[in-house]
Amino acid sequence: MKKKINTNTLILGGVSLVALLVMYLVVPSVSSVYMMTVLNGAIIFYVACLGITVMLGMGGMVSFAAISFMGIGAYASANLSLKLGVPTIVSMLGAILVSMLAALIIGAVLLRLSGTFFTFSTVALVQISYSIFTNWKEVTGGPDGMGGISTFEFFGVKAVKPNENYMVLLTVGILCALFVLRLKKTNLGRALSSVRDNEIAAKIMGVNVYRTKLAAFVIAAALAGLAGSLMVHNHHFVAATSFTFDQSTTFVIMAMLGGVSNPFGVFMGTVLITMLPEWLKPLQEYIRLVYGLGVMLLMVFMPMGLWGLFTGWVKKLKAKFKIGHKVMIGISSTKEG
Amino acid sequence: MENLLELKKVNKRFGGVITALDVDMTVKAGEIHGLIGPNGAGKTTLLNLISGITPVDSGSISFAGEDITEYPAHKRARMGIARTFQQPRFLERSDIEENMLLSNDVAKPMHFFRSFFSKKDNSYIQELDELTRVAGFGFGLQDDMSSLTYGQKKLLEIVRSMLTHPKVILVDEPAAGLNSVEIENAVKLLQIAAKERGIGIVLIEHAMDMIMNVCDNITVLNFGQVIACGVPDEVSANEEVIAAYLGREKNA
Repeated sequence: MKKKINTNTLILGGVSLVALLVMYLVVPSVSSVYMMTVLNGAIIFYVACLGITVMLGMGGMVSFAAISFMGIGAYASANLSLKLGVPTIVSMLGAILVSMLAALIIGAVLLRLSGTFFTFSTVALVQISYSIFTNWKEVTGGPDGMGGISTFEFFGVKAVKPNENYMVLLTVGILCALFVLRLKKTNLGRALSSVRDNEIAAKIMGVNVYRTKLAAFVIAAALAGLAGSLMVHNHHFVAATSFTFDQSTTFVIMAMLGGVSNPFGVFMGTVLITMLPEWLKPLQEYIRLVYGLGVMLLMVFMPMGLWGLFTGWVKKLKAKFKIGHKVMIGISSTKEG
Repeated sequence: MENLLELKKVNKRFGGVITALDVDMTVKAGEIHGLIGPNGAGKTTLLNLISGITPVDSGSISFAGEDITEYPAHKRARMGIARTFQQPRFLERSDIEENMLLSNDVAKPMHFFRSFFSKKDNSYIQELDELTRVAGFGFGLQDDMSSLTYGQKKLLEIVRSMLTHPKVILVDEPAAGLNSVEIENAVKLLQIAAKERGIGIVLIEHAMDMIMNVCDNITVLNFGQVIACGVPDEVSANEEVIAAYLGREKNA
């Protein structure tokens, strides 16, 4: 069979290659140590925000629970590597597993609720998990937190400097983004979209609505748990103050601002929200005012986020230059030959 | 021929309103079974009961020899009960392709992990193309749902239900809001489903000429009760049916 390479794939491949080169080679060489630390934080948040892409962008469920599972993942990793001294990879996988298990149990209950009621139950969950993180001294170190957690180490190679951590984080971030992109194209992804758009239509198309939502909740928790694990290995420290409701809303803003339905959009949102305080530093005391107004205006004029704006342009360009192939179905395809 | 779908003494009430009272109905494979009655007779409710969107109060529904009364809607859909709605229900925020792939998922169920690692299944496209031609229109597979007209969406909903390879399709007022050409095409689609593929069809419709022309059997509902059942000629001559539609002559 002949292999078809269409212009779409070529353009997409070219753009991603350039983007990869920039991210892996250019960014670390031009950024200061401080900047690298900020970027590392952004990538960690990005992984957690990808969970919101799955929940909100694909499933239409507003959940604030990401921060709880990030905490669970973080403490799981901290305990695994401090008390058992396991390698980084095991600690990361352990964090994912523990947060997935927690999500399965918690989600099984919370997802009996729908819509706003579910959202509020996740708000409550964040408050509960914060109390547990602050008070369960044996496991979380209480208000003092836990320190001295090992840095990333894979097959004997240790990441020490921020730009070395960056390589690890970037790779994990890209892998997670690819996972979410692929997830959209699976039967589970389609089932999730159907739950978002029309629950009755979903049922009629054989979608088990409850189980589909639960699957999304568990996947989102896995991503958040992984982010928590990345955080402890990056910061070598974990404390309950990282897992507040405030931070949880920031995640949702990051995801919404960039365009919640797409991993690239979420990436833009994460970088923007992380960098805005840096860029707006000259404004000093007015920084919060400008930041708040900015977020509001963006939401009013770009409800689909930055990515929505971008895809709108791409669509127009494609239509103008007739790029990309279209599968024609039915009568019109014969007319056009 | 064996009964594909069988309702026995099905009851449903919403508060004081009785929408189904001891309803009996049977549908055979390849049969187009009309379901008619005045507005509010409980026709759509009956489809909801069969597809499992609303649970029955009492009575039993069996499908392909299995008692499905307690089964949730998605399980019934996977067993082969498809349906369309008065107002078409699609994933409006997704493109047409994603909507069609969703019905392909019903026809070819797959484990999530296999779906994760396998290529996009395009095997349904030929069937989609053939059925869309019968439906009398066309579209780009990657177009948004909003690019279709209301009539096209209603026709595409029948096509979508056929793509799930069901045993029964419940069709709710396919002709409402369609022009005469579109109605003709809808009838063609239903006839292909019933006569060529042996799918049992339950058809709710107010357009009487369509009902009388295509149905093999007709059940008439009024206030949730079956008042007549039989072949079209029998039903249209039935006095109770005429009374339900036109009102009874007042005795002096």
